Amino acid sequence: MKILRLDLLNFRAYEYSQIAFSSGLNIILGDNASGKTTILEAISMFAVGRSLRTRLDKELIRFGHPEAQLRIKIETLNDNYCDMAVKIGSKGKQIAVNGVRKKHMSEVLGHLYIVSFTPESLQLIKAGPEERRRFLNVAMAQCIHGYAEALRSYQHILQQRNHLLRMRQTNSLAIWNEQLSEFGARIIIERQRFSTEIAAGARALYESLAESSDHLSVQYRTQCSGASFAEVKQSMESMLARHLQTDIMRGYTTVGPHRDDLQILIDDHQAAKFASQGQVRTAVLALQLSLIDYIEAHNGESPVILLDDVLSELDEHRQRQLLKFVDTMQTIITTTHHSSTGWNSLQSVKVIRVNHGIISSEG
Amino acid sequence: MNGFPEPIVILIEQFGRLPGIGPKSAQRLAFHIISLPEDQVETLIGALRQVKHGLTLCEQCCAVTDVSPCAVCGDPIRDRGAICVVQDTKDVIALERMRTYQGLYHVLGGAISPIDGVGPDQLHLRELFVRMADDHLKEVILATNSTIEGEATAQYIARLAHGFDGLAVTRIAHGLPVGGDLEYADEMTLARAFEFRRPL
Repeated sequence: MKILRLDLLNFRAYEYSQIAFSSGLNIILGDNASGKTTILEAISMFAVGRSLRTRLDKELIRFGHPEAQLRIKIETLNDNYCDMAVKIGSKGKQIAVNGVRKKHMSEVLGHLYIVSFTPESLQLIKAGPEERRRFLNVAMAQCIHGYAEALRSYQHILQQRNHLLRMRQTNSLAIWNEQLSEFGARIIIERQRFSTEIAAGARALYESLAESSDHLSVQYRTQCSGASFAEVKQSMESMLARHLQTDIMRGYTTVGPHRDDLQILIDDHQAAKFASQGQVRTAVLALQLSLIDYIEAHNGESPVILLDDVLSELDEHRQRQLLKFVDTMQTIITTTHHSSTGWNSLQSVKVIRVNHGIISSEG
Repeated sequence: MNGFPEPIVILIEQFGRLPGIGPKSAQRLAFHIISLPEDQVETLIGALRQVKHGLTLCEQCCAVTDVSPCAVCGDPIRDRGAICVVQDTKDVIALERMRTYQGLYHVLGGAISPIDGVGPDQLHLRELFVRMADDHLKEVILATNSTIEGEATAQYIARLAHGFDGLAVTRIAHGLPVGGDLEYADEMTLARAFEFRRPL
């Protein structure tokens, strides 16, 4: 899968720019705050359905303009093309896929697959469970059909149930449990399956990146037990009943996939507490790269790799390892300086210079 | 607001409170009213007054009607053994178009949605439970919308209805629309259609 072209109109600092990408390595070069990450943000809008930097669409629109527009052209397997456009205005988003209007942003999902590694990716281990659930949600929404919809429904029901708890109207709570468990169980089952699959890949990747015998273990942790959908649903329903008093006391729902975690251990120790900076970087890199195999195996396409200012975070050995690993895939890297290591030896490098919303290409 | 004479401002504000009407449409409607001949405005005022004063809720099924009991509840040949529970009077009209259902209706006037401040007490549920106590009643058909709120409302009624002996509680089926292509259906609809499949 390859991104051929990206158009940005009134998107953050960009007035109007069109960027053509090469099918190999693309390097976006520019000073700090010159608009490099904005390009990656625009790309991820189409893969993930929303910005990874902000929840507020208004922030995406160039100051003083009513709306922003993005358009992307993708080449998929067998010379198929896909053209997606999104218009972001004060009244929400308008989306079109191959010229056909779509109602929900979730309908762009499944056309473009990305795997990204940014300085914020390190939060995956360092921060709380919320970041790890976000990692799962973002990765799974783009490559598992129907996951985003299930998540949206789940959150909607959760809001209704939590509202009752906040208002202390507890007598009609039970009627939400059945639907909450239905969608909750679906999410838990999918997350368990997904985590098990990427865990194996991440473990192997960690060993080769770290060149050590430490091993990385990744496991989905949930309060609900069971092997099948029916069992998990049953378990969640009884957990909701058992935690009713706690829920009422705290004023929100304390059981369900929105409270689960992805446990990350290095040599049987919790990575968040005991891992060194280097181990954290390597573990996060291994986890993100394990998504590549997953996407290739399940969706038949290789993803586009986005690396935001990360080469500076890695030592030369890991830089080379990383670049070798993504060699066959379209890769887009942002950086502030034309470093000598790594990519000089690689072929078909395209350098895209960015200067405060103005783009010039070379090579 | 914007320098319009007071009566126009009031009219624009009132139109702006209607569903689907933004500030620009409200302004356009207000100026259209100003340009209308007086008798037409009187007819409009009369029509507004009539829907408010001439309509009432049916004493039995709580549907919006001009006579109470409504045409369905007042019809002696309707089957008193079944009540179909719907959210809205519009749903009664839709179901009546099917021409095969011979039972009665009960209109809730909405669905349970805590976020919007709608709980069981805000719906016509008390009236429904009074009707459920009637010995002639054999079946309650829950035909609330297939949304999260509609589903929760159905759950709520079902739980309470199970307390009445000999009363069957059913939920209308969800699945593929008749005449629809399988390939165009979304996953949720297909999953439901599979879940509620039946032997042939």
